[in-house]
Amino acid sequence: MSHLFSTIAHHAQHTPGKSCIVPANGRPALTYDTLIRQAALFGRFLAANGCRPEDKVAIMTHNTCEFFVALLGALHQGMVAVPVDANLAVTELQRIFAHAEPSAIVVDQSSAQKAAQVGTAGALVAVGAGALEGIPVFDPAAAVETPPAPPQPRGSGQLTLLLYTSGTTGAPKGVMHSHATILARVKSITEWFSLSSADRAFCMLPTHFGHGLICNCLSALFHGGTLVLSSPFDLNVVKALWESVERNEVTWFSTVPTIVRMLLQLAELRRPPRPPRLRFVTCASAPLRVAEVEQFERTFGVPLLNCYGITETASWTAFSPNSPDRDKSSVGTQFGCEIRAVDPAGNALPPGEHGELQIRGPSVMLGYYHDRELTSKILQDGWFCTGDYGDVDANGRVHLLSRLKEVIIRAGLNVYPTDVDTVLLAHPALAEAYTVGLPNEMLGESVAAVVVRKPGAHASEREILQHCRGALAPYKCPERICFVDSVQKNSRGKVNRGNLRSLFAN
Amino acid sequence: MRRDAATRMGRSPRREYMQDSRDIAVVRERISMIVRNRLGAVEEELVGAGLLDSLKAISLALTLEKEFGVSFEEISVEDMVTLTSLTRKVHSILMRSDWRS
Repeated sequence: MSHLFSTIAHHAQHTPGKSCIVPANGRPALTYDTLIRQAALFGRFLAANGCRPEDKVAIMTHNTCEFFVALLGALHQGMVAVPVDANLAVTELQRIFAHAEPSAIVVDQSSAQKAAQVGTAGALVAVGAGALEGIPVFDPAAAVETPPAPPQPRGSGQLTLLLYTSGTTGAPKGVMHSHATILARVKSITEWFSLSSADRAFCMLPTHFGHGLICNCLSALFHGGTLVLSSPFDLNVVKALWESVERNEVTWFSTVPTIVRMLLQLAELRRPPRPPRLRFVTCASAPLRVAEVEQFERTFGVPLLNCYGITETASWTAFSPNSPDRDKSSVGTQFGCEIRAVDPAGNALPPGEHGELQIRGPSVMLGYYHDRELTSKILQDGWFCTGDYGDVDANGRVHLLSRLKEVIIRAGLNVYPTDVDTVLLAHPALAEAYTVGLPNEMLGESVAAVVVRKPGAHASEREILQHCRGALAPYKCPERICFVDSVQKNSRGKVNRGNLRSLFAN
Repeated sequence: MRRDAATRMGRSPRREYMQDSRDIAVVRERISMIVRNRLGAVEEELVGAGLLDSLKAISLALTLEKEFGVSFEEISVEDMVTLTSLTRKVHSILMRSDWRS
């Protein structure tokens, strides 16, 4: 099967009444049959609201069943799904929508107001119960039950999913994936972890980015399992997490290092549970220390398996084996793709030698949307240049050492320093701005900025932080500002951001 | 199921604060110190000033349990909107446990 919708519809045919998505908050579960019927009807609803095959459909909802109804509905009609983070600032959303040019933006009650502020040319449509004035609403629960029509034919290699990340230039980067790239990835996840229809995955990661959407959610639906869907990790989730994992008979879930650290902190206060059906927990999106892996396993009695991947490779490309003898310093073994380290000239290095990691395989993106120049720079002869520095040993195990790209990873989410610099420089009092990542025990890294004021200009730290909060998603906002009179530059006028970190030593 | 971490470590933070728990100013001062240590700064507006996000809220709630012995399950993000609201919440829990003891 070469179509995501058909893959899930196949389970709807064979196990129609099986729970497909179970909301962790106790709302009614969706069966495979219901999900597919609602999605097909939603696809028709999009068509009735002016969307045509190949049109982009932005999905600006939170972690809900309706998100998947909207996603699969768009795919059913041969449209391109564009999940976006509803927590982004209005100006960030405006940049993404200007780039993607969606024909429709799917909102829910919690995101409708912000979407209206964005003021895009695309039509606003709502999914989920509840009146939203002036916006056409599709209420899945009230949808007439008819057998779903087959999906619109669409080449498995054509654009299907557009995932936005920020770029090093501050411009939005739309990562293009097809049915084929996504299916290749979920297939390798299913094979590696021997997932079956008996598995029940718990997702507390945002569904709008690769790790949460592809690895945690779509892989669960691909093999006919059950997805227990929670809102993204927060105080309410952590209070109910273990009870929910146990009650819903969860067999696996995925995390980022910050979640692991917080669960360990929680375990100091509450006797750690041992959910009987939990087989393993995965962790990706940022490096985790060996000691943390071992502490987690001792505390919860369940394997914590590192994985490695990037949005551009449809997420995980290396997986840790579920074995106590595994190399815990590795982020995993390449699987379903090839990973190699290359020297600065692009020559492949022998096993164990350090260089930039490159990835080639069926899950590598089609390219960046509307950006051939960047695509050709980053995709060379089918090899995707990750910007990560490390090695691949003789057994195919990947070790990460550092990053070549200037990216801050805060709690598993990427923050591009130039994105933040651009916002800082829009403040009238600032002449120069350099955003850096500072080591943070819980978050991995926190965001900070070194700024130079214009001569005679005055701006307090509070004013500058307030300015950022209006223009950036909360996780991208600097937490600390350091004012300096000047910043040292090299002969080419470049600033070594690494050197600036020492300014925050006290 | 519950285990009081502070008690496990050989001290009783709840008892430590019990004698001062009627004085809300003492609680506020202590929370201010915790917030400054955990979040790098302290202001009346914790959420509005951008000091606290969803992840830091978890960390702060767990720290408050360690420091005061108040169950983190009793603290919500809404309680953490300002330093005053958080102080009132922690103080009310301490007073309640004081009254019960």
